Amino acid sequence: MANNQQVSLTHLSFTYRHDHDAVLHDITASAPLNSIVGIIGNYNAGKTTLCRILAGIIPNMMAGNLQGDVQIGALSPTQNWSDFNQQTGFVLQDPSSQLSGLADTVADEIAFDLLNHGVDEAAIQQRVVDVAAQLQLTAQLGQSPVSLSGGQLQRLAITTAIVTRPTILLLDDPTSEMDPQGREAFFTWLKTIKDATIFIVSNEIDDLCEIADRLWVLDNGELVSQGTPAEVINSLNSDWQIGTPKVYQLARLMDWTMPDDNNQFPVTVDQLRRCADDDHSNQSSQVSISHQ
Amino acid sequence: MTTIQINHLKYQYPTSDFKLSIDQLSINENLVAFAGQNGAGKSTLFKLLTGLVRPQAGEIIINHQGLAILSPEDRLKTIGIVFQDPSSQLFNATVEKEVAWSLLQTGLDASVIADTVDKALATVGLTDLKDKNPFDLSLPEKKLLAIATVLAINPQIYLFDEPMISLDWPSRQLVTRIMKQLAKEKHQVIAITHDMDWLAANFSKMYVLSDGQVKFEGTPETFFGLPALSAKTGLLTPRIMQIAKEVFGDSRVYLTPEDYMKKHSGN
Amino acid sequence: MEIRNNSIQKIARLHWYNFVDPVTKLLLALFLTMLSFDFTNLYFEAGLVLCSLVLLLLSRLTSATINAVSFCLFLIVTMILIQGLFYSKNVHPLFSVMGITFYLEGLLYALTMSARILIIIFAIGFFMNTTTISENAKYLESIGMPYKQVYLLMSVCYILPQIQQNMKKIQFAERARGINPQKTVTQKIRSILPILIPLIIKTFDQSINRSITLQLRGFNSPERTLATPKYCYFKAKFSHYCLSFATILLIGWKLWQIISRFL
Repeated sequence: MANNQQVSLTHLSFTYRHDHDAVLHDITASAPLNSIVGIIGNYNAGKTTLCRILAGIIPNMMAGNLQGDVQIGALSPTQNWSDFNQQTGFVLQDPSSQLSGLADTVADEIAFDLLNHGVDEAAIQQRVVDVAAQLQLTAQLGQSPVSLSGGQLQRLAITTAIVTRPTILLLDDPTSEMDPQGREAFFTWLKTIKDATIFIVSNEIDDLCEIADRLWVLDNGELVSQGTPAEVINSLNSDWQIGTPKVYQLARLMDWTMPDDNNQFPVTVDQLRRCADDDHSNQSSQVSISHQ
Repeated sequence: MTTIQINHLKYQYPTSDFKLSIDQLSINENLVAFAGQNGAGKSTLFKLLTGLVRPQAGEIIINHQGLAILSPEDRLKTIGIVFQDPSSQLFNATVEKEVAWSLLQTGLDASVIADTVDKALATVGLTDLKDKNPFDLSLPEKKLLAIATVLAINPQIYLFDEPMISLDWPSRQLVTRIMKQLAKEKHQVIAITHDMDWLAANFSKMYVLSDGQVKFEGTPETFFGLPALSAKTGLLTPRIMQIAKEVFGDSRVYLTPEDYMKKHSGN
Repeated sequence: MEIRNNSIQKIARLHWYNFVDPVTKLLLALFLTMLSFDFTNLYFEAGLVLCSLVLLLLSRLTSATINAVSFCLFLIVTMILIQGLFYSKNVHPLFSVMGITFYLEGLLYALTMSARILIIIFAIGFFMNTTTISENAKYLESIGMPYKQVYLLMSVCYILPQIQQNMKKIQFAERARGINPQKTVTQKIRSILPILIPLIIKTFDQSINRSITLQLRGFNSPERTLATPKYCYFKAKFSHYCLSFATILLIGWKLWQIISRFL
């Protein structure tokens, strides 16, 4: 079971203290290390609770009845949390409650994590400047964190999570307050991250399909589907009430199936391009005719 | 039929350089979207429309009546707003009290209030949660509750600031349905949105704000056919257009995948 | 070190009060307060009020301080009225208006009390205006206080501003949704009462969230790099000793005054 190259959740169940009903039921899931796992599902499906377990907030800071095991590579958030936490970056749903409240400037807020990790002052400067540039916060470094807009706050929260170079990154709906350009830039940036296992909860199904290696679908506290985005989206159950990416919607309407599997529709732009390159040249020619 | 007429409106925040300036604007349609980048002035316009801030110059006329001279009670019945962040709109101890609060401000009869509250909660599907603390709700539920508080008053004009943000898929469908239903019932529904896919799929009239000025007024079909303008105002095109462009090098206007299919099955 | 720490100082010129450390400022506030309690001479009290007012005026005046002061002035006026009319030791009438007599003893008593309130408000206002949260936190950490305790102390100190901020948000929402602009005091109180519990829950919840993230961000990890104080302070240790000594003397004296009354 303890495969060091795997993320593995085994028979995970959880009930909050003072609650009767379990929030998560018997979840068993896996993903390769250093991959991007997209977690989708509606509210009350248990996504945030799952994130809390993956971060070790449950059971270390929030109590309840936790059963089963979580293993991310050689580390486990439930067993050796302080070692685990050294390797983890976390972005909460509400970015403003993530700020220390003890920093006058954005730069100080980012440096807070580095100070906590015992990085010396000389190195802090460079790293703060570097991550701020990655998330387009350079101009805000000298501003007070309370003066930031919602989207900027979210980018600050992400910055504080990655500045310590974590090998595990947990992102709970990190783009909810960003504008479309900000969101686009964020997902493009996320795709470039190497050597980290990333868990991301998001409602942006189009973007998620483009960047995720695996999708886990939660419904009412149960893991109802897991696999590559194409596998998961092609086998969605309408009871789960989950949106589909535009590429998939288009391909279904036009009946453009994947070249290697005629039962599956593409979910990313690249896959669609392959469908189009392969045996759908007739459709493309039809395109030019119909618009003359 | 409601009309909003804006004349020579000017507003500037005391602490920043930002200036909203609208010379002439009349909004007659029932379902209208305002798009624009952050800081383009959309929320400021909403604050002016609700009377939360007063313009330094110009006037807003709703059905031939100046907004400035409406009594607070009339204003409440004329125009209601759902904020982007629902938490900033909720402050009562239970879901039920939250909806009743606005009605109490209008001095209605207790039995009428109870009925109206029930109806509003049923519309947004929160009847089962009526004894819960609004603070314990999930984000989409909070947003639906914020909508219910406005539905209870049932103003002539509904303003929605980024209604799709922080909703999940089923609640997005529900809110869209509610908005369309309101428009059908001759209310005026005005939404601010970043979500170009949603805008393209559901609205036939849009305004684009940029730097505090109205830069476009017309159909989404027209707007997305003007790539220079959408680039200048910092808006993206609907995802379906990006897909068509990236995969087929096709830069024509498509509003939805369905629209794409329709335009490609002509013969 | 260009981006961090020094950026603010580059823009804004250093003021004299940046050379006084936060603990000295607090001790100074305590010292002034004790002085006003030990001596009841009205001229002396007036002098102290003047002193603390000068301190406050020499620092940056913020609207928060002005609000606090104006609220206190309102309290003081009511106190002077009530004590002037009803103070239990009232003997010598000062003046009468329409059959209502205003007494000297009550007035003097109220004035003494007011002076003390003003001194406390001015001195604390000076402290609040001239130090930021991060300056306090950094200083306390640098003089050897464990970071966890620093954080706890700071969150307690700043919970009131946080409640105030939440309150503002809620009142804005009320304004957007409601019709009465809450003009009178009773209307204001009536609009606040029903929202007190959600307000407290909200603030409490924010605190819990914050404490969780701080743990995730490793704020009490043993490797933490010790913060360096933000400014170079002038004779911090020396002023601490002097002020502490003087304050303890004053407290002792006050205690002696109280005890000797019973002897």
